[in-house]
Amino acid sequence: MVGGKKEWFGKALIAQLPALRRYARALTGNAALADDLVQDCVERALRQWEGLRDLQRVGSWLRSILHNLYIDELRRSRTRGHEEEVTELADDLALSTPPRDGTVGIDFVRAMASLSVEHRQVLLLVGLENKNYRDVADELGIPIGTVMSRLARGRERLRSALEGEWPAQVRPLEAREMRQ
Amino acid sequence: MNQRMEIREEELHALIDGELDAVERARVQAIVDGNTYLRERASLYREDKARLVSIYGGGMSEPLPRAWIEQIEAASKLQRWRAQSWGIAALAASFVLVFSGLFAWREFSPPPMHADVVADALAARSGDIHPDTVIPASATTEVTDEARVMTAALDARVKAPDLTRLGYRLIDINEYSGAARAFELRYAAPDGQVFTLYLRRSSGTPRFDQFKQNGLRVCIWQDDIVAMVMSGKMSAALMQRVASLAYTNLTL
Repeated sequence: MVGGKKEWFGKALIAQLPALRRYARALTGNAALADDLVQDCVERALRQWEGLRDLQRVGSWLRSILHNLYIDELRRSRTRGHEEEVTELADDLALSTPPRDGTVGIDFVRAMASLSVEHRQVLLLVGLENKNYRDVADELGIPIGTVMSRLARGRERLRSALEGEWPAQVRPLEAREMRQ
Repeated sequence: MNQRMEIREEELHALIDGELDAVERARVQAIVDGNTYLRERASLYREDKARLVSIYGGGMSEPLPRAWIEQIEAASKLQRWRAQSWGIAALAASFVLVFSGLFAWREFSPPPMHADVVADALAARSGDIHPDTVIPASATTEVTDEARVMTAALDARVKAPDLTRLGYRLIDINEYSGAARAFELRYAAPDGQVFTLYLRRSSGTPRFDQFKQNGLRVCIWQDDIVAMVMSGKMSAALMQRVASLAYTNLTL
């Protein structure tokens, strides 16, 4: 039984790889880093697969692992005192955006890179992975109201970054966050 | 009341994402329709949402690195073999009772070792398999003794690639015999880490792949003559530079 389940898990894992890689690229804005994260994610998933309770939720489970690995990587980068230039990350992915999007695509990728990981994550789960708010809340383990506020704030900041400014209504929110 | 405050931002986004029920949708939509600012914001947010998909949504049909698939399949099959082995063990035990211990022993013989070049290369690097001979690096840059040995063993005109341009210095060469003769070239990297280049005769199928495993960057570069597996603790970009230099400097 265990062997059959593991084999099923292996097939499900392979089927999820393209979407996982796409999500990783969008989250990090860097194709090489995304592939490293997916590789690490695969290794960890193969070690911890028995912790996956609902096999139907393998996609969200993998994204959670990947997200944790990404946070670890960001922490390590800070500890090492080495931060990659946001523009380098943006160029990396932006250069491979469809030609029809041209410089708009590059600006968009850079604007996405300027957001916090939490905001990017919610924007991508709703906008790219087409998840509803309830599923996003379940996947992230946060209340649905938090999903909605992160989404609203993330989109607002993305728009502001695209317009080259932070609107007045965003700043007080940031100040409140700082105080909390 | 400020026109912008007629609805909460969250409600505007819930409308865009189709998260409102019929009554709420009608209410929020009516407010948005009657408010120029909100109508424009909704339109821009919808454009951003669509652009998210157009920019990041591609790549689903891109080929995946072979190493990922192999790793998953190997893990799944290993588990299956382990599970099946219990059933086989029970069956073979009954044979033991009926026939002889010798026959049962043959039934239980483990399958042959996986002969993948990457597994062999990493086993060599970690010391799980031991070299038959260690050839010290030559001082000369001419056609050296080790090149002659490697050329004869692999039936290909190869030498230890000179990687000094990138600061890598050859330490020694480990020679392995067995089913397939192979060589592990060990280099000292500028940061003191060891970089290894495992070399043996190709299986015939061209292959190029790169992945990271337990913190170790691994690159497989195989043409129809030789297979190279390079490994070291380094970035993907540096591995690409070193691998390119190694491949171009490999032949005599």
